[in-house]
Amino acid sequence: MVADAISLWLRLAGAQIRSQMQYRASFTIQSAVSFSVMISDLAPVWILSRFFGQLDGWSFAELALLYGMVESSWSSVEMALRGFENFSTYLLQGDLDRILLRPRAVILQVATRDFDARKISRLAQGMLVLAIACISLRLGPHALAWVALGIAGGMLSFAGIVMAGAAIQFWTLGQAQELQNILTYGGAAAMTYPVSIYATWFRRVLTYAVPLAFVNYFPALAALGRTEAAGWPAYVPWLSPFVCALVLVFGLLAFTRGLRRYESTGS
Amino acid sequence: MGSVRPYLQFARLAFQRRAAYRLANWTGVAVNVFFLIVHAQVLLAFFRARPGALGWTPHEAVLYFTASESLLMVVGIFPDYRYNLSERIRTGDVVTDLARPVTLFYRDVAERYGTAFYYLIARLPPVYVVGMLLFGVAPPLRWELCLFPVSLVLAVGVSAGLWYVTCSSAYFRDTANGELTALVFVNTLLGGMVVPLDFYPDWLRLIADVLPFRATLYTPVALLSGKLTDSALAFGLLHQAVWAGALTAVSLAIESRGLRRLATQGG
Amino acid sequence: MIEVEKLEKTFRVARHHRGFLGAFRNLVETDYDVVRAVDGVSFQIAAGEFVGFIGPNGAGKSTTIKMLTGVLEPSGGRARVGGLEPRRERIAHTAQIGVVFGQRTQLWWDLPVIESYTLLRHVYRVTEHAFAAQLARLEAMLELRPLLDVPVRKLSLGQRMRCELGAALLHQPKLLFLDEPTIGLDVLAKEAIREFLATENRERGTTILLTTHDLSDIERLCPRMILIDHGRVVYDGSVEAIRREYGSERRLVVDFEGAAPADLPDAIELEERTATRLVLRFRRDRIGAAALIAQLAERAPIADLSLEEPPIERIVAELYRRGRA
Repeated sequence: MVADAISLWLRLAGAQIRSQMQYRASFTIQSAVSFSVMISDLAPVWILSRFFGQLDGWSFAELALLYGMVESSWSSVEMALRGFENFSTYLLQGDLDRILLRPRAVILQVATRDFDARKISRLAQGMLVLAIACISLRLGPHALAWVALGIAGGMLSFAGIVMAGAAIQFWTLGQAQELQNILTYGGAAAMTYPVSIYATWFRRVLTYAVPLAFVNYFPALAALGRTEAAGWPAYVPWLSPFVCALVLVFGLLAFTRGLRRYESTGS
Repeated sequence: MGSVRPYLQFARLAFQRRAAYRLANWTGVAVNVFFLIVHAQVLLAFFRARPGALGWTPHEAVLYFTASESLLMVVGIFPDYRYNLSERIRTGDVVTDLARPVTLFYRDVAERYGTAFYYLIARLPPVYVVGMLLFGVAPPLRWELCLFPVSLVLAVGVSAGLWYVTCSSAYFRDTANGELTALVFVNTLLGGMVVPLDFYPDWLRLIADVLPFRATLYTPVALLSGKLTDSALAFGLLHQAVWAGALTAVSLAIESRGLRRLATQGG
Repeated sequence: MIEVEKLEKTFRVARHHRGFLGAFRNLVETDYDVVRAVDGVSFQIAAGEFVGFIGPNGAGKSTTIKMLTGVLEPSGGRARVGGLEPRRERIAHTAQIGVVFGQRTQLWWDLPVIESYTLLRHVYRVTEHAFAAQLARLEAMLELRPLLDVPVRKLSLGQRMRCELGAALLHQPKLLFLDEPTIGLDVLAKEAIREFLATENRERGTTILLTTHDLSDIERLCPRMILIDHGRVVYDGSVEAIRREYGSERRLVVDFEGAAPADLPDAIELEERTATRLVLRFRRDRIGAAALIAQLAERAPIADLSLEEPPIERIVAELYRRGRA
């Protein structure tokens, strides 16, 4: 069934890419736009790093590493699972009823519904920053493995988070798109910086409540060999894949629960 | 320009349009507060490496960012992707607008001011108060604060002009969404949304001082935070006034040119 | 094919208080009103039938359909479609039905129609062979060939409706639900759709359930109609029968060769009189059409005449009115 789901998703992705490739001018503009987004995301960090020297012991290259990792994770989920990101719109416009009328699992349909090929440029740029950071930090294969693990885990986490955010829409009747955005875009923005800089309560939220710290912070610590120096036991980064998988499971459960509620009460 | 009454109507309608979405405002406040929490802590963390930099205390940096985040929506940094001029041009709805005996640019500006007034009372106070409570900041009571309303009015005007010019590219291309997004990010960077321009490297500071973007954010925000005084204040206000005038002239010119183009191409 | 027994659906609708204090009350407590949208609906539809479903807005019509299609869970009673429970056995059930909403599309907005069709083919797991055959058939009957490569957003409403019908039938469902399929269409497009539906029902035996406000759709296509108001079935029978029961009044327009007669038979109402024409209304149960015509012919030679049934709109409006009184 999973292979089936992936094949359906690939078909949709292919169809969307083909259709969007027709607008070639728009594609180059999208790339230019993503470039400016990347610049304006990183520029404040660069300016501040240049002026202050470092952020809690993290150099600009290391901050760029964090940025590249979380951007790659989130951009790929944003591109692939856009159906969950747009879920509040589906609820408001009654598209969910249409989904219920097709002989496939709802989660599968929502996951494969929208594929935004234009976001590829954002993903590419996230990976570009990542590559430059890795090179300039001269990361060895061991460290790079951690980076890859972090990104993979990040994809699982963001998938779970965007599903949980979509689940919230069931209870708020599709009015809480902003709350979902805080979890996804806000979460990604917060993780551009090392979690150690935040006040205790906020740090705890990002480590235990919405465990985004396992998306890039802990894998990065492991890649840079600084886990214990930052005050964490050496095994913590190894927890990342499990924590991220748990987030995904939580998201799936939340969404299923919300769906069940919708089906009994209607809109 | 004729009578002012219709434009006051447009402003009032724009205000009411926003006022209808109370829940959306509170979720928006949540978003502002979230980013306030994240970036204020980032600034504080950077300052730990080098306190008292350039005559700015960490406290003042947080005050600056609180003001910035509170004023974002008032000044109109983010566009309404669904209801804006470029969409009206693309779908051809602008034809009905142009059939009315009002200047489209002034109408757009009037609507901006209506929207700005809404956010001034609905968004600025709650976000600013949260900043005050969480970080213990308060606007310094200096005589320059009397000039803040002037600066704010000019800032909204410049912002309106920037949007109008950018949206007008839809006369010549299919959609302006790429340009709008780019404008947002260039504006936040060169307007000093996160980092006060004072910290920018000299060459970037020069660019920012010449271009119009600082007129929308940096000038009013720094003024409100008590960091814009004497000659810098005079320059800031003058800069705003000059750009407001220049953008008005450009917008009016574009409008007549765009009108001619529409007339030849059809709706 | 469809069995509905004492179907019920109640909603809890949050009561919204107005004003400033009201907003505060909304936040703190929530009062609920209980709305009985569907209140004991029963009917049976056999395979191959073509049934029209009508009712005033907010009368429980769409809620009933939603329960039949499996979007909503009933609060009481039961519904079985093709032997399956629509919501409990959703996947099996949706595989055997097709649904067309007049106002919302099931096609992917930015993609060419054929891409949507191909995606749907995989969603419904239709074999390549069956798909090709069915597509060829639908292409011919709905004239889809010029539309297949066009993105859906560029289609006119009539073109889109034809593509929607095609999409709904790609997997050859035994049962087709249509919700306002002819809304907003011009005369030609409406005709084309009606032709197609009639043929589909007649030649393929597809059971069709048509929800509409356009009563001429019903007159043209549905031998049977179900009227739902206040969450209950108000009428379930043939269009002929409803005319007989409630539409006893008919209209006769007579053009005479010479002058129209001055004296008229009893038991009629004169609506209009010109020099050579009479427009009369008469009740079927008081005098038969043939008798009336004979009586008029006795008085003056008739050049031409036409006999009009009451428009079904009027009958149905009367039924709606009676229900609301």
